[in-house]
Amino acid sequence: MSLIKETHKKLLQGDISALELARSYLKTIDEKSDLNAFITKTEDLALRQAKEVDDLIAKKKKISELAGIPCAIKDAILVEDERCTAGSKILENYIAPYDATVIRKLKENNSVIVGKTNMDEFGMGGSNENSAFGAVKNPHDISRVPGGSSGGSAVSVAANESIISLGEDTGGSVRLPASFSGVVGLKPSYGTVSRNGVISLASSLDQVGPFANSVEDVEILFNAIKGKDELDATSMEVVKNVGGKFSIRGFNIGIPKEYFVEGIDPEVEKTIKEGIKKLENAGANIHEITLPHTKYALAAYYIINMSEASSNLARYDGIRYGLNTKQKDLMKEYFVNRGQGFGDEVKRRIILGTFALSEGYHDAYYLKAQQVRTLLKQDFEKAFLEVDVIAAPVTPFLPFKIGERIKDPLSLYLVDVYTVPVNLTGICAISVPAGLAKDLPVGIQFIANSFKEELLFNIGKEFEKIV
Amino acid sequence: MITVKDVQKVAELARIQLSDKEVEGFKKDLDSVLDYFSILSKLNTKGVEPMTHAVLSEDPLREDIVKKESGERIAKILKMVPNVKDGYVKVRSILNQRD
Repeated sequence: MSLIKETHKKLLQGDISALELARSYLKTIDEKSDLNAFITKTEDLALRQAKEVDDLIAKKKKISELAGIPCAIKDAILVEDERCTAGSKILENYIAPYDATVIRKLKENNSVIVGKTNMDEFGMGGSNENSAFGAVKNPHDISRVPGGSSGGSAVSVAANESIISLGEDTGGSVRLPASFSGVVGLKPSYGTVSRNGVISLASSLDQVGPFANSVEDVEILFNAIKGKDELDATSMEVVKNVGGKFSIRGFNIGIPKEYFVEGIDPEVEKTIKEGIKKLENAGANIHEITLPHTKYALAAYYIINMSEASSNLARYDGIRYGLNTKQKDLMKEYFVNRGQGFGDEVKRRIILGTFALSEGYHDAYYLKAQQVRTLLKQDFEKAFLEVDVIAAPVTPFLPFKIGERIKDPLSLYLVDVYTVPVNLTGICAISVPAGLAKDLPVGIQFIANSFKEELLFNIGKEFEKIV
Repeated sequence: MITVKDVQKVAELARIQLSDKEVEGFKKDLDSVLDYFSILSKLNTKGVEPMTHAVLSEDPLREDIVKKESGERIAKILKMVPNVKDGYVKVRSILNQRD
């Protein structure tokens, strides 16, 4: 059931005005402030945008499906004249001087931007506990994490603080919070959505991804934001893969044996396997497949993530923007601005990344990691000759307690083990709610080859019907 | 094994000031994470091409035409600069520095 379409109908019929709709979601944001999903509520912007939509409706002008739809934006995506912090103290007072391309596209659709959501600082984290603005809470159990780094965006949708939201996925940062918070989240193929105006973490991995309560709504939002952008040299046009009408009967789904090994929570495994069984009962062909280089993916990912991050975060020196502690000389200013402005995890990753790229270590770490990417890509290419999509868990764990893993960085990194291969290879994947285990949401991950998002939407919608 | 000196050297390269406590803490983290990374040394990647990007984009060049910016955008950008003078970004002196 598409909440976007349902709301669009109500707006056109005059059951509710865009202004009333915006006000009600802004009110919910206030009421649910204890979840801490928002860093900045953009009330003035939202009301202005909503009023514009009401004017268009009154003048009987044609409006987009997304017009008037309340949308929350991860605080790594620039919205002009609004604060953009990336969850960091170093950008605490930074006001964006321009719109990211994805925001420009949302504005062209007359969507209503209700706020900037909380996130792990600079996208570094899987639990949204690394924010300089406090941890985000899982609405299903407020003592637990909602997942990260796009925790705020996932919670915003899960808690009805917005109908849709945008996050960003570098190693699972859309899919993981989607799974933990019980919503749908897509990591599009690398290059399909412009990164212009999106605060970079790892440039060869980052992709903006949509959240919603249904696969259909994620699809609508994806279609609105995708496209080649001359301001992003890594972006490209997605040609629609017309493959005839979809049918679950005879659809080939691969189950990678390496994703169901020791360490996975038995409740997570049970929920995923039950979901797969339902797909099989509906007519899908289930194949066991192998992705042999899976066990090297996490190490390769973190090396690349940290190395690229150390380079991307070099710009935060307090000279052109950001925290400036006014020291007596330039070098001291760099050291103190960054020492005081960055949180622990950010410093940790910059240190590790700088180390991995430094003389004598580059070949052993960064180069090696790039070679692993090639091998992983070959694994997936081989698998996709046999199957249409791959079905797997999003993460081995159920949403854990706030504070449980934060003291041991490595234990937090392990949460990403099933999501990172998709980012490393640039292909696409979606997390769809698969049910509850111990009253906690579990998401199933569908993975498809580059530019085959259509397959993900097809199987995702089918899965929603039968689960 | 990573030493305190290694961490300090890297922190200096990364231009991040760390307290002694932080250096000690990151030394431990570096050790445990690098230990995890060592799994890669067990993999034979001889002859494997490194993959730097997910997609090989076509020639991303554009026409070399100056696109005039309205003053508005520039004003917004300069508003974020901590030390501005006459439309210039002020930077502390780099001459007469140690090393």
